Amino acid sequence: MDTLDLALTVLDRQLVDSQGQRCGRVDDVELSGTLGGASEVTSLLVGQAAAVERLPRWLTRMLRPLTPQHVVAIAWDDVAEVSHVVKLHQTADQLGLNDAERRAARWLARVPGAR
Amino acid sequence: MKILQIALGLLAAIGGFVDIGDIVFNAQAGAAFGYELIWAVLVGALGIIVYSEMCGRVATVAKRPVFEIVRDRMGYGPGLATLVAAQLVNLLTCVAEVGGIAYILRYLLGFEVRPMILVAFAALVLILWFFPFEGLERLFGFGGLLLLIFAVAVLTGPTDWGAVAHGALPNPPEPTHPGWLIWGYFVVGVASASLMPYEVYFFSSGSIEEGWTPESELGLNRLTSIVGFGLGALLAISIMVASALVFFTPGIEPEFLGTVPLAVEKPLGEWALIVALLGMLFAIGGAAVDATLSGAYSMAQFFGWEWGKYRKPAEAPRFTLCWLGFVAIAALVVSTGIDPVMVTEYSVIFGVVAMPLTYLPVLAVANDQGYMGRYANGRLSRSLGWLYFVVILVLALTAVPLLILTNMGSG
Repeated sequence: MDTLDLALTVLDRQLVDSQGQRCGRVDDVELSGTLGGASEVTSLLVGQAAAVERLPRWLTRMLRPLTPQHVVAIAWDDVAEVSHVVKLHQTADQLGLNDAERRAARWLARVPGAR
Repeated sequence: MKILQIALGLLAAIGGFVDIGDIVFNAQAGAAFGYELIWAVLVGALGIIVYSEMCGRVATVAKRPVFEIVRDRMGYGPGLATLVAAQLVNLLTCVAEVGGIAYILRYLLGFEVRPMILVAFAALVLILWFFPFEGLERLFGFGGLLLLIFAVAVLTGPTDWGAVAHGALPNPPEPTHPGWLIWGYFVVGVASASLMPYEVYFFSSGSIEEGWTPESELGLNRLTSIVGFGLGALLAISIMVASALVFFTPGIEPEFLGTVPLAVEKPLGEWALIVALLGMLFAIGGAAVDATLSGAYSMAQFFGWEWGKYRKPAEAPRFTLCWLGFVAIAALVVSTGIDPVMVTEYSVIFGVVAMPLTYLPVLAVANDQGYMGRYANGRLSRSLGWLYFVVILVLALTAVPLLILTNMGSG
């Protein structure tokens, strides 16, 4: 079995969906297991609220109220490949990773020349 | 056809080298120190060559632009701090460039500054919205070549070439000399103006957008960095020398943007003044576009959003909103009546202060064979890379003390 350095090669990596669209970064990694027993990666968390929790405590406290609270958990089973990016099996839409991008696109679409 | 493409790209790189920081610092340095600080342009230019060659190579081989690397290598917290620092500098740069455009439009058209800020804002937004990437690069790059009028003034004027050669090497004044600190401030300013990092973020993101591959485009990357930026530096030097020819002896300080083109009007006539103003308009306009897009690239890469000027605005929506926001904030800040020359000096000084933060992760990746394979830094690039890290660190550490001690070079 290959070993994977989670902190170095998964955490903070660019996420790319099954169609090659960029859809956020791995803002945190969720592990499950028992103390002293085996543990495994359950999901990748995507959303600023998850990343902000990793900052020094005083910064987290300061930024938390300003950060959108929406966090999406991607099951580890949905990860297709870990290279310089983390590739996913499904599309960003299917995984719910595209909401903010779509909202912004809807705004812009009204302007001539946007598409 | 391919050669023509390369030549056009190179010309655009030359014309795109100079921005408002180079214009302000080089013109002032020429007026205050004659040809003495030519070497500082060369120090800065070699630095930007080393940095942009590495960034271009990393982007081409590892397919990663600067702020993707920053977050990968530094993690979220330090990466976020770097992003904030880089964005503040980017914003200062945008303010300086938008202000510069407005003032030059005023000189050219004779209207008040405020409506010209609106014109600058509208023109930038329309151009960024509708022009494709390559068109942008060419439009401003070629227009910037009008700055060659400064080289014409140097070549036809009473230039003392011996003194020019003398200025290509450092001759620091005695430490007891009262002007010593001001000399230091201008050395740092002139070198840092050539080193502005937003050009590099822009260049590395652009090469990814153009789909560069190691097999076919690494040579082009080296050529654009070395020849394009190298010749661009000559353009910057000719501004300094032309300014020295006209302002040094009478002791005039070109403290307004509009004073700078007088360096070519005096020897060549009024037509040259117009050419110089147009050249400055394109050079500064191009820099405004680069700095704005750099800001949007950095945000999108750090947070993992879709990005790209090759896409239609709605295909990379948050990226688009970012650059729109940048132009809008810059225009608002300029319309408070702030002096663009002063903002320029701050943007250059703080640009170099923040630079080690983005330089080091890129150097680390370029050195790393795990990422780069056989395209990792060889002995020469590695030594130059570390040497320049030290140079940038020295500039970064001395910049703010010198700014304060010399009261922005005015003593």
